[in-house]
Amino acid sequence: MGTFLKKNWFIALVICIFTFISIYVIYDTNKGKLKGKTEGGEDVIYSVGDENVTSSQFYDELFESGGSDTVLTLFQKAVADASVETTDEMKEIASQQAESIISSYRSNYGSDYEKHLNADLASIGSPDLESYLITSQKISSLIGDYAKAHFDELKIRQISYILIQFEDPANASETPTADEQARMDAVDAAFAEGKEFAEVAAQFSEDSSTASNGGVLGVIDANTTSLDNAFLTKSLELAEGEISDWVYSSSFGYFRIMCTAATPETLEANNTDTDPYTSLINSYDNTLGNKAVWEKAQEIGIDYNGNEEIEKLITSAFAEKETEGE
Amino acid sequence: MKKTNAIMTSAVLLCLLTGCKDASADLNDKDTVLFKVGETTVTKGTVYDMLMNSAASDTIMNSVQKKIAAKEIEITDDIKKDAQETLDMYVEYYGDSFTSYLEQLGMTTEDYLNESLIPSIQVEQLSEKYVNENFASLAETYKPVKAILIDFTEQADADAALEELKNGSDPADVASTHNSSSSGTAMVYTTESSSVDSLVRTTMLNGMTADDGWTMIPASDGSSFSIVKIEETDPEKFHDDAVSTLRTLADVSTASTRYWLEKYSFHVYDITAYNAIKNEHPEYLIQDGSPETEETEETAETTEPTE
Repeated sequence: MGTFLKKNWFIALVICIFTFISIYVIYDTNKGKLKGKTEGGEDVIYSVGDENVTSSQFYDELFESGGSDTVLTLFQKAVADASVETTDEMKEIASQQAESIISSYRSNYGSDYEKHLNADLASIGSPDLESYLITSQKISSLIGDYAKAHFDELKIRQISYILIQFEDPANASETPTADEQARMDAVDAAFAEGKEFAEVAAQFSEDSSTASNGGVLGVIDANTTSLDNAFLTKSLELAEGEISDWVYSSSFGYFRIMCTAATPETLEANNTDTDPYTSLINSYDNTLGNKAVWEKAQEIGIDYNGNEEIEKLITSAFAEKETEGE
Repeated sequence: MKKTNAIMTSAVLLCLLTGCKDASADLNDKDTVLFKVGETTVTKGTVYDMLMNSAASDTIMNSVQKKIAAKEIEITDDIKKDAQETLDMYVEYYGDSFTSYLEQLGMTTEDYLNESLIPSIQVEQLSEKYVNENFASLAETYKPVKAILIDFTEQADADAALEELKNGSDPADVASTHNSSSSGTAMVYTTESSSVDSLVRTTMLNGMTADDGWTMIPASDGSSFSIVKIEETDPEKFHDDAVSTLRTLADVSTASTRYWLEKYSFHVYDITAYNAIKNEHPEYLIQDGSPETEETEETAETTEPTE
């Protein structure tokens, strides 16, 4: 050995230096790494005092704090993924939406935007923005298909209206005052002249939020309980193209209501730029989501793998709500 | 043979170099299927990952504080009474929707009382215990005083009020008579009382005593006038009120949490959980050392004398 070292001292020196550098690089690379811990064959998430909380114990803690909502979200996503194919159009829309959202975050948070965006995505359990947006589209598509399939049962209507307001709302009655009657007569006269509903609405309707748009309210159905009851009841009775007589609403005044679509074909023909069912779901009926998901899940088939707790959680969230809506 | 040894040695070094990474805790039964819809399967691991991403930090911090509080704070009759009163209030206010909510969680009202309300009160009392154990140093830092402070926007009101107060009129009456929204009652003020003008606060906390009686102090920008009377400058003489005020201060709350986490050697062993806490509450990762130590090191770097 001594002879070898004497003859090859330079090589030995190189080996020693290389070994030292390797050890140092390994140490330096690893010193900042988070070290793990196990107990009883399980990974430990954290420890406090003499208690080690393992991953299965932490799963129980996590589930207690938000597991139910997470399971329901994943169920909804699973149904959407199982029933709606991801199309190139969806990816394109998601990409555009993501760009707009990122731009908005950048505008609000500057160079720090990624941190805030990632935190917000983490809070909804979705690490990827575009995936989340694609899932949202799938769910909307699923609910839209449900609405279309239950068109008649839901009494879906596209509605426009003309409003004549009370002269004195504090003292309104079902019998119009002379002033109110005069304004209503002007509307009737315009119709008698053969003018179209949209034109009459633009000229005479006293609801500034819809008058300039020809009186268009949008797509409603029997679950649109946010509307005045008298208005909704009459709207749902109208046939396609029918204009109602004057409808008294104790809250607003007097309405003439037109049903511009009462069939899927007309509804889709009237709305080529936007999806009318998405408009219904987003604006006037948010009860359809669970019903749509549940019906589709029944169609596809659910296997709970013997998990009674999960089955109870899912059926109580979706099936009972469907029953309440019947 | 020499070539083989060289290759083996290199492989070992490479493994040592790249094989060590941040620890990531796995669920042993992550592949357990919870449910399947068509061909889409949701496993325990899917739920775990989603919850880790969304709720790891809050869940850990809430759980850790409850565990510490369970060891540090005894469940007294007062705590039980407070918890029961809160429960009764929820039941009365929310009615059936509250009991339905508990059913969804698989809990009875008794479970909610013992597993949620009582532990929450114990956690609240951790900061009170911290303040009591460190009262002298906190009092020195935050200089609590008990005082009556009445604010006026018009000097004429302030002048008139001052005269009446010096004549012995009731502060609450004087405040309302002379257009002040102040209550006229004695409260505890500290260096962190941000609702008080900085000049007024500094004057109150540095040198004023009960002997000064009623004193008018204009705001630093002259836009308002405060009439102040110091009731007590010795925090021990209004100990409970001082504790109640000090424990609500943000820095004290943080210091309290760190104190307990350090006492119980809180440590995180999973990188996802670690990063989640680092993102929201880096000050609670005591395994990374004290923030003061890091600041001191930075300060030392900037104040090294130049040669």
